[in-house]
Amino acid sequence: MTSQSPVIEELLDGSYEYGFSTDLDTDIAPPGLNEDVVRLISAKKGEPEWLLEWRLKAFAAWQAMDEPDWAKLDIEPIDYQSISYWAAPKPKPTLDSMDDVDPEIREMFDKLGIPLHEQKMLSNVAIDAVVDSVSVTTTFKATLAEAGVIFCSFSEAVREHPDLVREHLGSVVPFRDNYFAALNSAVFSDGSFCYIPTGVRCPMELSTYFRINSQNTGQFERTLIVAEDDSYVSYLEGCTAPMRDENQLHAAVVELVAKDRATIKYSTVQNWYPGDDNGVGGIYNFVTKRGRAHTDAKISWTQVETGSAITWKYPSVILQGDRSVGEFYSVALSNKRQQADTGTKMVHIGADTSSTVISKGISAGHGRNTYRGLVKMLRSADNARNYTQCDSLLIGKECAANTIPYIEVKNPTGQVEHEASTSTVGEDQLYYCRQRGMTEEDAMAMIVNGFCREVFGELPMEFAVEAQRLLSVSLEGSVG
Amino acid sequence: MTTDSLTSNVVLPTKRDEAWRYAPHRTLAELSFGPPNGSIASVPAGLLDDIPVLDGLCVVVVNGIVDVGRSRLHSLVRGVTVSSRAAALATDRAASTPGDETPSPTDAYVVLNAAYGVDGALIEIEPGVVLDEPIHVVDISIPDHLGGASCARTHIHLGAGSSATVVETRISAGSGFGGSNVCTLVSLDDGAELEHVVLQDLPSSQVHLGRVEVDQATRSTFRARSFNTGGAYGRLEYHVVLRGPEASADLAGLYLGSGEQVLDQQVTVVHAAENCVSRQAFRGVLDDESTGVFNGGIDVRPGADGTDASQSNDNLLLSVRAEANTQPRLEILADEVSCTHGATVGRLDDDALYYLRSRGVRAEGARRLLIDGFANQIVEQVGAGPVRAWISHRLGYRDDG
Repeated sequence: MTSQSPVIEELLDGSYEYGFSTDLDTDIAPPGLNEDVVRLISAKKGEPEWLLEWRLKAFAAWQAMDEPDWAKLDIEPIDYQSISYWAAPKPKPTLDSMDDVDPEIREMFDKLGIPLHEQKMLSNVAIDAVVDSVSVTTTFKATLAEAGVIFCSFSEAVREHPDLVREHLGSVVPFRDNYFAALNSAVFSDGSFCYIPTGVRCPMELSTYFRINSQNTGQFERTLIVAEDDSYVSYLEGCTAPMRDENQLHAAVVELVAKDRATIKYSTVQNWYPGDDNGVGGIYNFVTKRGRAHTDAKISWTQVETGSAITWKYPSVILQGDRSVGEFYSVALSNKRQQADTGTKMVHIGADTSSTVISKGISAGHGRNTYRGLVKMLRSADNARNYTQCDSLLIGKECAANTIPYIEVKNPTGQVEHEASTSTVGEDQLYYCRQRGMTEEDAMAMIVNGFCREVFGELPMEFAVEAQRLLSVSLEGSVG
Repeated sequence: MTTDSLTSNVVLPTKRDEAWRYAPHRTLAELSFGPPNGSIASVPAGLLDDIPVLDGLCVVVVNGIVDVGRSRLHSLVRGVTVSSRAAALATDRAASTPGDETPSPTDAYVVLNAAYGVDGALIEIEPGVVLDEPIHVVDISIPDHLGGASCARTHIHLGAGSSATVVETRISAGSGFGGSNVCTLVSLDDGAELEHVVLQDLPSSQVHLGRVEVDQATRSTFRARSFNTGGAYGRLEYHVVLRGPEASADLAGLYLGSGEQVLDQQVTVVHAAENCVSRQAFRGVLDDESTGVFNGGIDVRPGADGTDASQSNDNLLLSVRAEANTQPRLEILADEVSCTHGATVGRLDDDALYYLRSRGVRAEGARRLLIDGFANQIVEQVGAGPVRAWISHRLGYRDDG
């Protein structure tokens, strides 16, 4: 075996271009977590009593839980008392229009390539921008309101639409669900809320952009999307964070409710700071994402995971209604010292339900990539179908790829197919391409893009372009 | 180390242990382990008369003790030793047998087996010897109705360039609650070739815990064929380490569940050297309320370049209450590898049934034909002709009963 080519080494050395931090006048709570902190967060947000009670119950549940250790991840112990659970850019007195957004924040988002000015928007996308703990602005609200679509920050939803929030909060991911979901339920600060009324096809893509800016803080956001009967929504999510030497915690919860015949398409391009070459710093990304699909409904998760030091994330679909459909398309890249333990859960409850899982894991550098998935067919799931394909691509000699699927079938009419493969980008493939006049970088990009094509095809156009670019940046210097 | 100090710290696995996720923990907790106490003489006359034994060399182990009277230990082939491990230890002959090192303390039942498995078959094939006739090891547990489980250890060592076939049958004389815990330790020297067949057919009131540990040197070949059909809980575990380059391991297994049986296959193949080949092909046919479990792992260690590994698990569910759980794992720490795995769960193909029925085959016959066709793909992989015929007969016999 020849040693890795220098071009490959170089390509793997890509830098993180979103690593800057912005000096914002920020209101930060002292580090530490106890009941008073939970009360403080709730008070800061002027929440109703029921929500505070819910948070406190979640906090009590969290205290009684143990941190999960089953994932294939080497994690430095997390000191939950050293994190500040509330960080918010100090608000301007009132925010009547987009022009009132703090210019510094606007500049930060411009630098990230996320224009918050509606007139500057290139595409038909409404954005909810979340910095540290709070949502700073939501664009295109008026246009959406015309269609009856509610798209706002979670805090605003609690104020303006308390009944909707109360009905659905925790209905898909109860606070007892797991350690990080319980933590999130206790201390979540903000996030997005989205409600599509019956029969409405949301007129534009909805998007949330998450930015961790402050030091020593965690970000705990919650997203709740409710799609009533016969509605449709496509939702995008992007994330970045500054380069810092210490690990920062991000523990989010996303709940999707797709009522009868509704469709929710949820796409993520996750690009949190991955840490440096020696594994110092980076975001710990512990996320619980789950959707409940009612009769004839469809929930589709697409994710491109290129960032974070640690990714622990299993977007799931509970296929409750008959003929409901669940989809999961994922590209997870772990380069440098990144570790990703990610996959999906498809729980078939209704009859004639079907699910598709396409997972592409790419390991480079010292990266470690694990696909962990569950396909479960309960007794009631007559004629359920699942197709799973998980492929791994290894680039370089020091990386690892694991595949750990669980398949549990309790109904003989169920049909499950699982396929997986692991392969490498070999010198010979690169040589072949170079012989035909391609540079090594181009050849690498072509091979990796071809490997991920099925997933990129599921992304909305702007995101697909972004994802391809991101992947080639993240792999820069890594060809192998 | 004394037996007591070995077993006093044993903590039984729970549902939270991945490898024991689907096991019936309550039943397992009722099993009791101890040194073999029943002398063979106390077995009621006639109880062991119907032991199904293949022609040729055979070791009969009753409740963990080799019954020399019922065994055929003398080989006409030079360089073949088949004996009782305890007897060999007593005469120091087995001082160098591999596998007596303290097992990893992670698995309670391995520790219990090491502590109480004082006897069992010892099979030694000298370098270059090619043995055509199969060696049969029959492990018989006689239940004491108190949940006593017998422990036995089989040692198989093949010298460089030798080849042999070993069949291990695990059965019971009696149908009370109890069980057996059998560990087989296999070591294959350079270029050695072993076909190892396990038939587990305990009554459905009992528990079987079987574990096969294989250590393979350069260019050695290990072929495992397992038939897991008996017991309330029937567990067959394989832990194969491809330690030398270009070694190959080919594991195939069939599990046939009915009633409320839980049949559990736990397979790990470790690629620790370059250019090794491994294959896992397991099939389950699950009827009534039975549960089939396949947890198969391919572990590619750093430096094991040129690994070629594949794995497949297919399950047929015959009843609405049957259940299949499959977990085909890959853990890869090297590049230059080619690994694939696949798993399917389904039922009998309606079209195929219809096709057969439209050609005059009765419903039950058509069903039988399709199931047998599915299962036979494993049975026909048994290389040794007489063993294959014998296995077919045993499985057919079972189906008729």
